[in-house]
Amino acid sequence: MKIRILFCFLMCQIFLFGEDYNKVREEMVRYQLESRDIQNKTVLRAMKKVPRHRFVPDKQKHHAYDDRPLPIGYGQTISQPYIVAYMTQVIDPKPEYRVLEIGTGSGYQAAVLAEIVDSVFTIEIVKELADRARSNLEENGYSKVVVRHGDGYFGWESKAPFDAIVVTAAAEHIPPPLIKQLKPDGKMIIPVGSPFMIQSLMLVEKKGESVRTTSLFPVRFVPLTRETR
Amino acid sequence: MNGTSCRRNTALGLLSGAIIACQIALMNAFSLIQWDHFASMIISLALLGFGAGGTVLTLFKRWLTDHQAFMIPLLMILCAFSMALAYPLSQTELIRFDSYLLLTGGTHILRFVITALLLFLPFFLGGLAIGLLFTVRVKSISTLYAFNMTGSGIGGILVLLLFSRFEPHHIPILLALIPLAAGLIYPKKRAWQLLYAAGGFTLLTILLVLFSFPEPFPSQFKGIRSALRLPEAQCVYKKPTPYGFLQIVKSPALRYAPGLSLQYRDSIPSRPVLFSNGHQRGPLTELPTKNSHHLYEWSTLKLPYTLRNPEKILILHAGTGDLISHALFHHPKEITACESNEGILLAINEFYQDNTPYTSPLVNVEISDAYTYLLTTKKTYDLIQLPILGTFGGTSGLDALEEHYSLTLEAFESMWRRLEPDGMISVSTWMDYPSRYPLRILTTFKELTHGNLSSHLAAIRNWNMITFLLKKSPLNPGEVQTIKTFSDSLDFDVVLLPTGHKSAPSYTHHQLQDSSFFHAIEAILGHDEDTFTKEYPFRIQPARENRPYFSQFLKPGRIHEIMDYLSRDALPFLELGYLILILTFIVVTLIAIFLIMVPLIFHQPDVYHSKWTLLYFSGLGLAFMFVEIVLIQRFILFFGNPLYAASAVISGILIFSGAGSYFSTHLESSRQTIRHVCAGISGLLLLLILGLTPFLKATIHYPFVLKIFISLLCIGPVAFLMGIPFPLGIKRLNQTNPVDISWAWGINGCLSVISSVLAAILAVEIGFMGVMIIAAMIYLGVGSVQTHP
Repeated sequence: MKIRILFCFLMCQIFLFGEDYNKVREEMVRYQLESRDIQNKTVLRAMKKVPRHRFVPDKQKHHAYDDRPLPIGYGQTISQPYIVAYMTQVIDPKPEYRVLEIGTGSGYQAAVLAEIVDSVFTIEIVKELADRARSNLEENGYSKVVVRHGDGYFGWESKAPFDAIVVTAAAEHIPPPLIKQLKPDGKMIIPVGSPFMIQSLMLVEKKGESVRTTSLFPVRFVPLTRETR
Repeated sequence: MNGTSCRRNTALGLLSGAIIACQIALMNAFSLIQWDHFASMIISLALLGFGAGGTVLTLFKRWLTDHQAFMIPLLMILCAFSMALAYPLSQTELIRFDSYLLLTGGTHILRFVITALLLFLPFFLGGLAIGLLFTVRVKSISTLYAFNMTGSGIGGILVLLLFSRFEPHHIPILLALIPLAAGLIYPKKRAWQLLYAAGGFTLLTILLVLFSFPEPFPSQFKGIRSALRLPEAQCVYKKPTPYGFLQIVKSPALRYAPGLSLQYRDSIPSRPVLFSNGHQRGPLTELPTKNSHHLYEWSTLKLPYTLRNPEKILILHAGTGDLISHALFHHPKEITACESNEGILLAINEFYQDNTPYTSPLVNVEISDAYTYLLTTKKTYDLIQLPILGTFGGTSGLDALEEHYSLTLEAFESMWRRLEPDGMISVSTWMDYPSRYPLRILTTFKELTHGNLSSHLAAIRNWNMITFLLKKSPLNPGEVQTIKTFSDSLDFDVVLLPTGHKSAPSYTHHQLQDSSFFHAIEAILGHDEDTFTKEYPFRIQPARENRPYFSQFLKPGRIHEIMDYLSRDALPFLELGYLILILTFIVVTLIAIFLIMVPLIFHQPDVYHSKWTLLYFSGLGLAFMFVEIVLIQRFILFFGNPLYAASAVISGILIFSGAGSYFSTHLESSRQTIRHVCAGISGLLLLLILGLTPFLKATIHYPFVLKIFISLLCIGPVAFLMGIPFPLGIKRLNQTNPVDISWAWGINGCLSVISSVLAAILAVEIGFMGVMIIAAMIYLGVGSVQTHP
């Protein structure tokens, strides 16, 4: 009898949790974003809308709205929601923007951008991740995001210039083709750090031929959770 | 020695050698797929198997001694069986753990525990066999201990030979043949078919595993794994060497341009990258042609070359030759490239068929540690260039416990002496937050110039790298202007110039998160440096020869403050290396205490005797390893090569200790003898504390063979004496309290493991000489522990 009750209780939990992603997402926006320094209404709206749990591996679904990055395999992570929101806020996206993302990963950042801007192009170097992100984006109604498997180092010359470029992992140098493909007054945002921890976000701004960088905030650490593969 | 004793002693020697070799081989194999500190942690836990062997022996002594003739060879065979299987099993999909994911909890902690238990088995079974043999043949303890020590010494050398012949994952399996041989040659009362069957089955298992065990996957977060995921990536070269497993990966997506100006808009060529034990060691470069341009001309690394083209250049830790290639671009008359890892040189010369920067007729190659070279050379240079320090993206503290002698204040003093009157030292580091590497460079330079720094120093930075230039003569106004012009042309920010460092942060092109870096510079270059360095939450004072940990910044007493300053969970990822060491110490100590205390629960101890046993054998376990670890460090400097140092010291100590143990056959285990021997050890250690470093520095330029002789001369007497107290103690126990012999073996095993971890912590906190002083005091204490009258 006791086992049966326990089973029913567990099923109810699973059922309730499954139905409750919207609520959890709203709480994420309220407690992880609004309570910090994410004030851009468009960004907040996008973050409220994109179903993050559909962009994480099945094993991670119940951690999808945690305040931390999650491993998605191949040594890659899906960024903490706050970092996604912050990076999006920094480039101050407008509907008419053309945005290039380097490092598609799960496709979540591209989906958030697609909620705000008309043209999102994204490049992923790991083929398996590119394929997975493409189907994720299509299944969730973001088919306008154009996913390409390739080396993001060269940017996407045929679609350039871009109003903004979002790079999801920094190399020790900023690829010159990306700077070239940025519009004058365009912005590029790059997180600098390890898979564990983003130590700073680097904003690169093109002013004519001159390029300036700004480190945006000190350490914001968020631990990983469990492995997926 | 009759035939039976000879076979018994040989079997013991073989087993002891295999266990030491297996320990080193496992450490190497885990370093390849994980990170060094996690590897040390897991091996330390596994080594507690030795202590556990003593505990089990104490608990089941009667049964084990009754069946010793069968059990000892069986344990040796089982040790071989577990040695062959432990590592391959730990790398199966179900059990393999990932160091990074340990920090996040989940199944990886369980996997880690299972791995530790698997690796624990060969040490446990081997330790139990040795302890049982010591217990039942206690009258021959001096000879047995001598074989144990000598076998271990030879095992240490053997494994280094295997490193250059076999891939790391095969070595632990191959080594299993040795305890198997030991079990089979061990004298038996009769031909037990079960033993031979077990031996045959083990041999079959070893062969099967050897030929079927695939190369294990490194962690998904390791550099080599990321590189191999890149498009068209392939491992085009691999070579096992005693310095590490070397691999060269080629992919069109591998590009490297540190410190590059954002003004650079041309293409960056892809280059093959060399990995050592899965860690990136640098991009490979061919001998530059006359017309080739060099990428570093658009990098902060060009800073020293903006002032003039130096004629004589010394490049320390030249690695894959990247900085040599840049130096050649400036047409010097002579370059000296110093690199201690001979394996890297062999690999890149082989890969490029001797068409590398090292093969230029202008380049003299010195295979030596940088500091050792600086101490031996009489040459002077116009430019001394160091490699880029730290890790891009911020340090995770994983190299915190690596000894960097060439970055100590004493090494910089040697560099200063080896500069021409207008010579320069140039060093670059990644910008980190909170700032540590650049600040430690500054404090070192300040002390080097006795505070007279401002007219000699310049520093420029881009968004992620800062390059320092320290000139022996003051920088003149023309040179200052040249640096300014160069920085402006490539959008670099000037951080320091003799015209006065700015009180306001110099934001022109690259704005930092906050002004803390500039305030720190102000404080260090000003008059309140001492107060600042004391208050700063990280250690940024210069590293010294006695504590050569340039990359160790964590102040354990300030952990809470750092956590508040950053964020609660950031610390482990900033200073991981030292934290893992502290964690290892805590875990190992707790388990060791448990293993030592368990026999006391089940056996009514004779408190008086047990106290003596505990103190005496704990002391020996602790002090022996303390001495060994410090001597290895001292001789690294002497030989300029960690491999030679480790081989000479480990083997020297163990073999001389073996001889001492053998000599103890002639000694009585009286209180006086023990006291005199221990006092002798303390006295010799005191001599070493006072005289070893100056003596080694005075003879550092001697030929290699003579250096080997000198090292054995220094190590020999003290090691000889250090081999005596253990067999004397066992003999004494045999007279006074024989029931404690197996327990003593366990205590010694447990404390040896604690000692190796504790020595590393103490070396960071109080320096090598402090560790040696403690060792001398422990020996003095051990000698004066009240024995039963």
